[in-house]
Amino acid sequence: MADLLQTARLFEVGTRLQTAAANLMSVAQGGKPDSNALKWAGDFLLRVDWNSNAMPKGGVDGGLAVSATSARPKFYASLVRIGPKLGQVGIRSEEQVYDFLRSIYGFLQSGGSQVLDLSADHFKLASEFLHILSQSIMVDLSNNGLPRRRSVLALGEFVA
Amino acid sequence: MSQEGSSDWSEEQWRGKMLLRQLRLRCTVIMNLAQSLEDGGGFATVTPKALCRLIRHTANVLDRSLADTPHDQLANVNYFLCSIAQHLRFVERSRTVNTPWSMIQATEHFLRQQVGANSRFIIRPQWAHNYSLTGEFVEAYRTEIASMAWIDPKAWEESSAERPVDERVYCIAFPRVERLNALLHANWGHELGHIVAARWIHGRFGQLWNGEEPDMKARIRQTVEQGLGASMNQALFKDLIINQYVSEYTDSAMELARDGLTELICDAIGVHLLGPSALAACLEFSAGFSLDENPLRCDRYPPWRYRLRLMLEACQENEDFLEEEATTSPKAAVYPGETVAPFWEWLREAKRLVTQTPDLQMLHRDGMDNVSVREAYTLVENHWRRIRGEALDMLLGGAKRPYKLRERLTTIDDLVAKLENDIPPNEVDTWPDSSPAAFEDIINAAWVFKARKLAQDPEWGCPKDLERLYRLVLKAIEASFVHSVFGPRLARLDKP
Amino acid sequence: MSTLTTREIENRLKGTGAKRLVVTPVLAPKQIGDASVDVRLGNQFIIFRLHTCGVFEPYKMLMSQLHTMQERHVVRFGDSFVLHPGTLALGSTFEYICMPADLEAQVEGRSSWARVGLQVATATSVEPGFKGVLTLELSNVGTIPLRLYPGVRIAQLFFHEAKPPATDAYTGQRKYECAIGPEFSKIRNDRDGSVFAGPIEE
Repeated sequence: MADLLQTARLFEVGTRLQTAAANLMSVAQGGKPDSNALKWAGDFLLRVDWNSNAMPKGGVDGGLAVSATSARPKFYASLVRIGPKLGQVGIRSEEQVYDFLRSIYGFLQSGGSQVLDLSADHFKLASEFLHILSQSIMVDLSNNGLPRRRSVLALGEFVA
Repeated sequence: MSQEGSSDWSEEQWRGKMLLRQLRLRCTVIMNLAQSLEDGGGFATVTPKALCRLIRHTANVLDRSLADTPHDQLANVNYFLCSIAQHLRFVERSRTVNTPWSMIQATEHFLRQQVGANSRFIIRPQWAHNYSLTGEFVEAYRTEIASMAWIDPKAWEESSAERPVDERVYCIAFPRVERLNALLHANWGHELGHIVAARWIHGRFGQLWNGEEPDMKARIRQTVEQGLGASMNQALFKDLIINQYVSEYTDSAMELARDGLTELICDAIGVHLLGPSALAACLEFSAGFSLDENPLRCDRYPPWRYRLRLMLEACQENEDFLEEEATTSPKAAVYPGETVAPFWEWLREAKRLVTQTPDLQMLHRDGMDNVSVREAYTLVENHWRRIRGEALDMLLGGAKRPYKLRERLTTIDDLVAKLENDIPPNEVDTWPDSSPAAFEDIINAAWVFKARKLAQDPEWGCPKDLERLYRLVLKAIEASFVHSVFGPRLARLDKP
Repeated sequence: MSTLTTREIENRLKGTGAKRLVVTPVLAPKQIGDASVDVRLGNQFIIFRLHTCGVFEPYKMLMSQLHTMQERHVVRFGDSFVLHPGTLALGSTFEYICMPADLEAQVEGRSSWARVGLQVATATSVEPGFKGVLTLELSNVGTIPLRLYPGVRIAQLFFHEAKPPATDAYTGQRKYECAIGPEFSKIRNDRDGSVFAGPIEE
């Protein structure tokens, strides 16, 4: 079945994370963020990150649990992608990576009221991270605008 | 156009302006296309027009909000617009000129009776040789619109006088080359099952997954660490990389479990609604394919043997015919009815297929390359009985009772006798005491008839024989639909 | 040749065995009249695509040409089919008919429709042993377009005894068998017709 609601939920994740990324960049530039957008992203990322060690404020949510599992591989891949830039803000070990992320989650969950030890550079990096994560979800959904390759029809094979 | 090299030039802004122009045009084109398809008509039911209106309305809302769309979200709007434009193909291909098939109205009527009158279906042929269901369109569009913070959801929900947003719209595709193969249309039960399966998945799977994931993650991690071995010991960000592997396999396990359960629920619904004919259609359809393929190679579908096993078990629970061994003679004395005896016998033979278990060995094999399959099917097997019960409970009131061929023998006898005389099996009994036959009885009678003919004459079944059978069954489905809808209305006219 | 009246028609419809007449489904008891059974319009039509050929040459056209000149339409129950003046379309009965070997039938249009210009049948007899829906040749010989709804009573069947009963009644030798929708002409299968379709000089 082509379950449109499944893809719609992934689209929702991609779009909301992009909104959060834009808000974080606005904060980095001294602007005021949309607190609802930040809270949703914080709640979601806490479900995605296995190292967050925190319970999302939304509690158990089956639908978000599924979306979180789908997004998780891209979460880690995106972290690997921004790896070179982590050093530029003084992050040099795995433990520091997780501490950085937890601070960002705290900021997001508070809707932007709880800043902790985050600089403008930290916010820019977090924005870039969420942007990359959002984009990778959307690329997966859209195949980046390219036709999906289908298997050559041969005896015994399905065409999806 | 701004000049490259000026200090305020940015890649995002420059491309964004280009995209914005394209999106304005795209919205207009989509609205016009949807309108012209709707106006062109030639549809067997009203549903294709409903989808046209939904798409047109959605494109209109997006168009009106383009000015407020943040530049970094234009690509997402683009994706959404392109998706809904593609959905117009379902409308176009459902025109009756593409498939002048009089069964569509009857089929939609049967489907809506099972899942609710606010559910609408586009039924159309496809060249791919399989059945498929796409949907649900309204809820999907609603979710996507709601995620766009710059759009007021009420603009989509409330502004359309035509209210396309109040219905649920699905598209079912059937293989074009099998259009006339009425017996294979027992697969409608499976396709209908996708609606129930989607309700279960979106309502209950998340909770189940939430509970299972932590332990599954630990087992997968153990397998990954064993698989990667000493190669990871010196890696920088070792934990992160292992997490990446584990998250990939966990995600894969989730998709395998979710998609596997979807298909198994559909099979269960098919058997529930249409009885042994659903199993028979699946047996025949799968005859051309391998029984024991790994789901990772087959778009996450469970192996055919696995599915047939569960369908047979469901049939067995409903019919208990499969337990009886016809060791005495005549076999009619053992089986509940002489007419259906060959059909029972044929299905009993199918049991031999599922007593072999190469599919189970493949699914539960250890190893990092198979860990997601192993975990997914452990989850499935641990919870299947409960899940099946919950899914069946989601059917509408009248559909909650399973179809049991054993309880329909008198009707089936009557309908098979009609087929023997080249009469469509559209009504039970004879005038003036006749009543329209039910869709499920017609399909099962057709399978019983076919099994009888093959038992009497193994050479039976040339294209001419089968085409005649299919024609009679298609006519029966159409006639019984008209009889059941219009008969009561005419009777009311004649009342004093 | 005696015409069956109501009681005999009803007996035949209720009957079993070789003498049974099947007209299925009869949606309303009033379809059975004094000496006839009303039949309803089916929802499939064949119309002719006049722009695809210059002339109908039954014995010389290729099958592909025959397919090209006809177009099938399925109309939803509840929708309508408009037949314009001077046009011909093939429709069919909604009811499926099985004739016993000792009966034949005549199809006649209902006078109500004839009075507005609709001719319902030109090839009117139904042979003993026939099985299927009846193809109806619908032509509008009036001056106003007619809107036809699938399901409406469109014609009548009058039944007559065939004496003696036909021995090879419709046993696969005939052109139209177990049809469930209108069928296009199979006149090209008339082998004797082609004998005349050419010059007589050797």
